[in-house]
Amino acid sequence: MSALTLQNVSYTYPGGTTPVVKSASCNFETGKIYAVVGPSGSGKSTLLSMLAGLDMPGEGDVVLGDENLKNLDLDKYRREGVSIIFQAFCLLPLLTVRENVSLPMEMQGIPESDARQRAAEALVKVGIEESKHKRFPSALSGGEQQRVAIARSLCSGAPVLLADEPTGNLDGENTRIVMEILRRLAHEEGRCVIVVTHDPEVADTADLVLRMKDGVLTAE
Amino acid sequence: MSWKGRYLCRLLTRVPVRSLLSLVLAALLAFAFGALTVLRGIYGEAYRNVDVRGVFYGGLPYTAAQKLEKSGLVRDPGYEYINRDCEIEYHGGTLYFVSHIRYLAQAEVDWLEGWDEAAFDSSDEQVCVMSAGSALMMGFSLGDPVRVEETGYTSALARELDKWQTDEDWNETLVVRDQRRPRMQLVGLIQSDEYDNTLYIPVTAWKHFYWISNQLTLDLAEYSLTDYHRAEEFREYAKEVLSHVQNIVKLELDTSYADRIYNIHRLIETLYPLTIGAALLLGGILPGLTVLHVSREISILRALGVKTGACTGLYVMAQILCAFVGLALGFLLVLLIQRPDPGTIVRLFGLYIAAHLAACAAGSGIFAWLCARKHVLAQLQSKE
Repeated sequence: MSALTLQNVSYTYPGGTTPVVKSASCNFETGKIYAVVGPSGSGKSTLLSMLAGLDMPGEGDVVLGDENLKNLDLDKYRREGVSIIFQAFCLLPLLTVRENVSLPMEMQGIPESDARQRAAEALVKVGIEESKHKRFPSALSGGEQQRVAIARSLCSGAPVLLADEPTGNLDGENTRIVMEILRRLAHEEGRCVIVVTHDPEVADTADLVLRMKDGVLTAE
Repeated sequence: MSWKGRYLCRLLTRVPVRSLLSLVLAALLAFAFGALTVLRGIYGEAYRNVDVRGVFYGGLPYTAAQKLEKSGLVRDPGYEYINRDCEIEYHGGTLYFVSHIRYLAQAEVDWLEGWDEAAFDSSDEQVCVMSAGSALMMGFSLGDPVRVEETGYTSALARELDKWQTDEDWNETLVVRDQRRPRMQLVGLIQSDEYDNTLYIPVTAWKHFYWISNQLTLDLAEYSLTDYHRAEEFREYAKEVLSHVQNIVKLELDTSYADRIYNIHRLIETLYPLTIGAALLLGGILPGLTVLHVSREISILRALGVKTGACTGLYVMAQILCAFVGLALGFLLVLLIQRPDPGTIVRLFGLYIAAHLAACAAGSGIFAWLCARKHVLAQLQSKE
């Protein structure tokens, strides 16, 4: 089942002449994990930005299910349609671990108590023990912070999960744990996981590897 | 509590140093504004009430005094004339003519019905006030007419009339004198012997005197300058008026105190808008920089789907709350330390608080909006 579709998407930076993404087309399906690989400057981040609704393509369409992103409220799309995991974790330092995870649910209008309960469950699921739920992110290791970020994505209920170099700041053991969680999310919970990475080992865990080169997206 | 309320609380409490700095800054700026406002009020009042008086000694002719009165450069004239060896109903002695009864210190006056100090001071009628002791000695009571004359008036009149050689001549001279001398009604009695030999005559009534020489010379004449900045102009005008006067009239006109007050007042008036401008600039820029410092958090919220307006609102509200508490503290400090009249400062402080909060909202709002407009991915791709 199609989760997110790129239809001849091109993007040129304002004032630029050469497109950084050229007629990219791809159908991202639910229950699968995708890896987008390619050298720096190949257009991976721009592609991710368009998938996340942070940039709109100059040409072509990004379609979530059967809704064109051009017709959607992009803030709502980022709240409910897609969830992003960053290399630098990007947890809110002012909130506790559990509050970070429950925040997207509360933004969707889920009552605070329910959101907290579900956040606690999600944290346990990604291996964050309960004693750490009330700590602030700065008290956690890099691997733990990334797992909290994944738990946050898990709780948002978004069908599409975008991960931008999710293991870039992690050691080998934590990389393995994080990728295992992402794989479970795709295969067991039916999410569509798209990982942008440089790491060949991370790419190897994907169901499908997409290569970006000079703005052109091709499946391997 | 909604997630926004909770996040706002965390913004204010989780980084206490940041909140405290914003709060202290607002308090200091408010205190500086309040202190300067109080100082401005004090010196403004002092400047408005500054009274520079020009005093003439040594016999200013009454005609010259009238010219000075009409020059528009002065107000509130006060005259003194010492009538030496005069006769008051045939009693000889020195009598001091003084124009301003308000110079009486703490002495009570029994007034004729229909009269009081204000009516007397502004009266154009031929009236006078003297001490109760003098009146008793000379047999006057309230309402009686009193005749006064210039020193040497009778002798001068006798020479003028050429009636001085025989007793009969003198009697005729005295009849003419009594016809010519002004008759002043006694309207007040001063209940203090400190004012014996002093006759108070309202300043506007001095023109009724008939002086044989037609040139009464005032022993003292003093004026308040209408505008002390025109002191030099007044000095020049007085010099011109006195150019034909033979006796040496000395003018004492000291503007040094007024100059000092004016210079401080002018400095404060110059600094006041600059200080307010600087305070508002700081009150706007520093909250803005604080927001800029947390631009990454704003990008995270944006990535989570929080709208630009909501992100901006959260950070603006946090800065406004800090500033408001700080401003209130600053206001309290001013009230406690400077102890100004609350009535005079509250309105100005209200305006300042409103302007400061507006600057704070504008500064933090602009920076928060700029942060929220930054490319989220570019902001969040780098490690903190």
